[in-house]
Amino acid sequence: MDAQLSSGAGASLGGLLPESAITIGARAADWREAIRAAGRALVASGATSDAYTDEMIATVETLGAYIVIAPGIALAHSRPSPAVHRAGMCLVTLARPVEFGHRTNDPVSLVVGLAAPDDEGHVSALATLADFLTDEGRRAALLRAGDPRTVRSLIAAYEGGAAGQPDHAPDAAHA
Amino acid sequence: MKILAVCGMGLGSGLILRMQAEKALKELGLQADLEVADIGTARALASTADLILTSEELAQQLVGVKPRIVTISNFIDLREMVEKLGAAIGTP
Repeated sequence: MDAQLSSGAGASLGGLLPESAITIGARAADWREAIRAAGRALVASGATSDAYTDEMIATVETLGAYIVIAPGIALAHSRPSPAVHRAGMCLVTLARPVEFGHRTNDPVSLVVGLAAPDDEGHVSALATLADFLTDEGRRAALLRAGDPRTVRSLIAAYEGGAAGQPDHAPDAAHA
Repeated sequence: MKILAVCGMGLGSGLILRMQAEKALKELGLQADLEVADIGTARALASTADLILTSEELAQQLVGVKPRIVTISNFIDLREMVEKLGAAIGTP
């Protein structure tokens, strides 16, 4: 339901994820550097300033590796702050997976960054991204993508195709 | 039945938990109110909920709250959500 809301829940995933917010094959020696790569992508897209990167790192230092929400996927974020200029997301694929210290979901090869000025504007985009990542084939295609433009087209194709369809559209349609 | 989806900040992984729980409840043919809370307010809100959904890491910070805690390790795996939610609600 959330994914189909066009008002109130904010922008589409494509709308919050410009090419400048997508980094392919970032080199990171540890989880801090992986989050820094996500922070740079958010800054490059104009969503945040550098201070937000430190805030995302502080989230993990304070609350632990719970941000590794699925095998190989970290959702780096903090709370609304002056360092967040507008709602934005970023995607960073890592050249080499890194450990975040999560019991079951390490190592991480995809960092999703999220910046939110409030608790509403990103809901629809985040729901769409979660749905997108649910499918192993789509996840693999994203990790294989050689450049940001390819990632954008994968997402655009999914968002275009998913619009108006029920939540449980058969995945065979994407094969 | 009220379910509290708890995450660190109340606007990232908790939203994904809520979304997945909505789908799981639909699949199970069950109804519940779903609310998202950050870990800071979750303890205070816990007494109003029947069930808490969260990660294993954050569950450790909620030890001692009244409602049963269901921990999810893969937030985007609908099967895990359906199985754990079904088991928790089906066996009070």
